[in-house]
Amino acid sequence: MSAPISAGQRRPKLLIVDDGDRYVELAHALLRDYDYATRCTLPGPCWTCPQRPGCTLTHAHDARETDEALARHPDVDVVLLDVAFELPEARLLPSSEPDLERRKRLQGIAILAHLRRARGDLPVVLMTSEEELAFEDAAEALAVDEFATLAGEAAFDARALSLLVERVLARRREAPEAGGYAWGSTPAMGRLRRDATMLARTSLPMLLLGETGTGKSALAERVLHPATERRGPFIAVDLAALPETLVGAELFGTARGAFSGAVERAGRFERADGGTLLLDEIGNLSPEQQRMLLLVLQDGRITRLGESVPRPVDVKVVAATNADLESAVRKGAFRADLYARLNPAAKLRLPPLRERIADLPELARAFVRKTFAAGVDRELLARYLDTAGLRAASAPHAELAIGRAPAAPTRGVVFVLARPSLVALEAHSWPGNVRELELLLKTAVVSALSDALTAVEGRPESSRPDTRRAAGTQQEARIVPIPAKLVRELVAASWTPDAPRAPKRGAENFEVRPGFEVRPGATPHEVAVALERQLYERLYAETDGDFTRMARRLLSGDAATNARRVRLRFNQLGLRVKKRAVEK
Amino acid sequence: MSERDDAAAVSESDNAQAVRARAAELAATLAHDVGKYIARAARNLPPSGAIPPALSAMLVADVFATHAGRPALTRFDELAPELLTLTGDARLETVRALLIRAAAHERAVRDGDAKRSRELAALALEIESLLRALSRDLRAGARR
Repeated sequence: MSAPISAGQRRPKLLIVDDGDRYVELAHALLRDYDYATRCTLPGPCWTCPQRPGCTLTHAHDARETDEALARHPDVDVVLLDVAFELPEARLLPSSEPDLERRKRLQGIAILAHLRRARGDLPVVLMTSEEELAFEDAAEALAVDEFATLAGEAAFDARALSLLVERVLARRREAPEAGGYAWGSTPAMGRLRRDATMLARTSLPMLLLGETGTGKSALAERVLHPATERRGPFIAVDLAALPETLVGAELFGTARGAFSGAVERAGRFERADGGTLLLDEIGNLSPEQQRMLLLVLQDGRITRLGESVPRPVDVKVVAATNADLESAVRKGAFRADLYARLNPAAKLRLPPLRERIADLPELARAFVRKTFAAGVDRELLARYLDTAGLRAASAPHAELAIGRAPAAPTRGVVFVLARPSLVALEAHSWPGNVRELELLLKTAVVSALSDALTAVEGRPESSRPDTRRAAGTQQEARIVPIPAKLVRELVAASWTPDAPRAPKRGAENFEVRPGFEVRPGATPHEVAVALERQLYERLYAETDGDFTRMARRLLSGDAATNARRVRLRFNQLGLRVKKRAVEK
Repeated sequence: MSERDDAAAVSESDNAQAVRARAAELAATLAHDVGKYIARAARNLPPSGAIPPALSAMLVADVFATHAGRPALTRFDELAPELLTLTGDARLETVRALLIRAAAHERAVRDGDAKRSRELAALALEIESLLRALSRDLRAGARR
């Protein structure tokens, strides 16, 4: 009865949240093309389980069980949520609503708000209709939530429900902030999109070329792998991050005793069997590793280190590099026959951001939405909305306006980027490309929002906007300008590919005491950033949150400017100003 | 008009609004507790041929254990009298008559009679449609 799922796709996973069994019975009887997030550990679908009769682990019955199921199944694609819950009061979410019956009738709306805080980007289908939702506030809350959909008459119509779920999934796939790919509208990206989709469907290897930060890995994971419609997983390996001596074992696996300490272990090729393997920075392979890779591409078989019998693998290989492979071939540093196997005639080149600068506004809007779609930044947004009296039951939502603020924003927060700031961004050379833009915008909007929150928290409660009065003030609080000075400073100081700047001795008695925890990371840069974060945390604590003193320890030159730079870097590192700290 | 007349007019208007809101709420509850639940399996029956046992069991539960394990008619009789007093809407009488007809199918449907099961499903869909329409209309009235 449900929409057909093509053979190679992962089956979407649904979580049913319902106080009773009505939906789960219907789904298990008629919607068997989906996987279901249950609270049990047994494998296989519920409808084949001998323990199914009387089992209550098939779905979530309240908010607590919803959290439990989502913790167990972080890969849930869509939540099907009932609205009326006939539950004891102790199992309802806390509420200021005095009418218990009303709380039960609208418990699904409360669970929706609860989900929004934790998983803002998770699509939810509310299994009810406007005819059943007589309470205007609930209907309003739904109208402003782009990830919530009313099932209406589809609620109990398996075929219509399946189509609705497919529409929701398609919408989610297309949304850049929800894991999609921000293509922009320049001709070069249009061609790339067409070619990428077409080549992904073939069995041929693919070669992605582009400067660092242009989005090669994201393209491989979010566009190429889904377009292959292959059933297996997407596996990525950064060849620049692996020591040369480990590359062979990592890619091809090992047999026990192959070398001292070697255990029986599958390599990335085997793990990607039936799926896609991204070989990032393929230009870094040594001649011996190039030879081994060539053998795999030639006959589709790998041999684990220490074994002699090859194993067949079915892998779509996507190679990516920011190096000039043709030049490397000419110089003899990269094997010509391997380069030929990588299908260079159909190579895809991702343009640097400076060559698609017309896409910057669209990318900026997508990155702002993505910043506040989940995680701690979404919590910050929710806190601002609550503190400013802007939040009823609506989901935290953020948009970016360029130039002028909208006349009367009615939902969430609108960040306003002034025209001169856009001009400054467009004039920047963007050596770190799209990744650099994303980080810069994230820093800008989170800084602007932190400042706005600090300002609101500093006001007496009686002067804060309220949902039932002061409509003008409320609209004012929905608009958060991004200071032009902040953008200029970020553009001037944003991209620092090297490790943190060494502190100048003498400015203040500086000493990095031992005790930093060094954890292995995927890249040297990741390790350096983790250490830098610890340094900033320590300095922040030692100076009681005084950015001027922190700046004196870290940088020479103008103290005020440096304090600002240190604070920006502090934000870039994902650290947050603590409420009681003295902020200078 | 005097101030007292004004106050009386406002109070009357407030009362009428409260009645409309209560009626809309009752109708929404009926549409949910009776209309929505009774039509679950009915909406999914295959157009012809045998009815799968799982759907047949669901149909029985939908109509005869609709709300808290009790039949749809019982839940209807809990909610409809107040709504009838508030609105006098004749569709409530029609729905009650359909529910009584549905109740008469219970034995045959439990015994697996496919023809009577399909008749019961048709009744369930008609009941749902009437209750949805009633709720929609009263909700629109409450907004005015």
